[in-house]
Amino acid sequence: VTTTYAELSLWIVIPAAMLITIGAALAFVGSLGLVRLASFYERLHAPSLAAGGATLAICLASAILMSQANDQLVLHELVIYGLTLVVTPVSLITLAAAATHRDAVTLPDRQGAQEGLTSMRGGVASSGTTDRPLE
Amino acid sequence: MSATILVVAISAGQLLLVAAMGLAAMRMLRGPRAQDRVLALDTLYVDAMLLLLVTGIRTGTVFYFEAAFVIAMLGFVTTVALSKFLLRGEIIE
Repeated sequence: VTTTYAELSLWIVIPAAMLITIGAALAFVGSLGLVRLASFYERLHAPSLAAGGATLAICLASAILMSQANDQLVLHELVIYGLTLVVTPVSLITLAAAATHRDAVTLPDRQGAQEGLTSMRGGVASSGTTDRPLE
Repeated sequence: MSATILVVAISAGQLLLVAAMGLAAMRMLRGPRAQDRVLALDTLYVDAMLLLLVTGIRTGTVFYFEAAFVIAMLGFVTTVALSKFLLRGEIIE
């Protein structure tokens, strides 16, 4: 830590330290869910924890500390948060569409796609053909 | 005092983020199908970006921020390109 942080008051440092710790813990929990959850469609939800909460917390902590250390308002970390906020749902939905398509193509009985739909609807198995992808 | 609090919090954050990257790498090596590996790569990108941001707080320079910004943009493009490849078999039709 550079010497400019040493003369900051505790009212600035303690919230920033809490934000850094909370953000890193959220990212860790998201990756833990990526390892521990059972099916792919459950695992798809885990990284949004890192992309949403952890990025917000760490970008806020960085903005607070940089603003206080440089004696001017530094907000360019929030650009990263805005970019991540817009971009993450798009990439995850594209990945989910690709996974559904691959399940419908490679598994003839649509076992994988039904597994995803079942976990999405809270255990109610879908047997109709209305959920078949358009391909 | 405040420097000590910051050093403890930043070190804990870096350790947690490195552990998160290790877990994502484990899923990427193990993951049964290709979409699991793509998802793990996306998580790895986000965690690396956060690690660069925390390191930038530690050193107090803006260069880590620019690297984190580049990683955030490239991670999106990578995930979408790989998803399109899984969906169609080719990226640009």
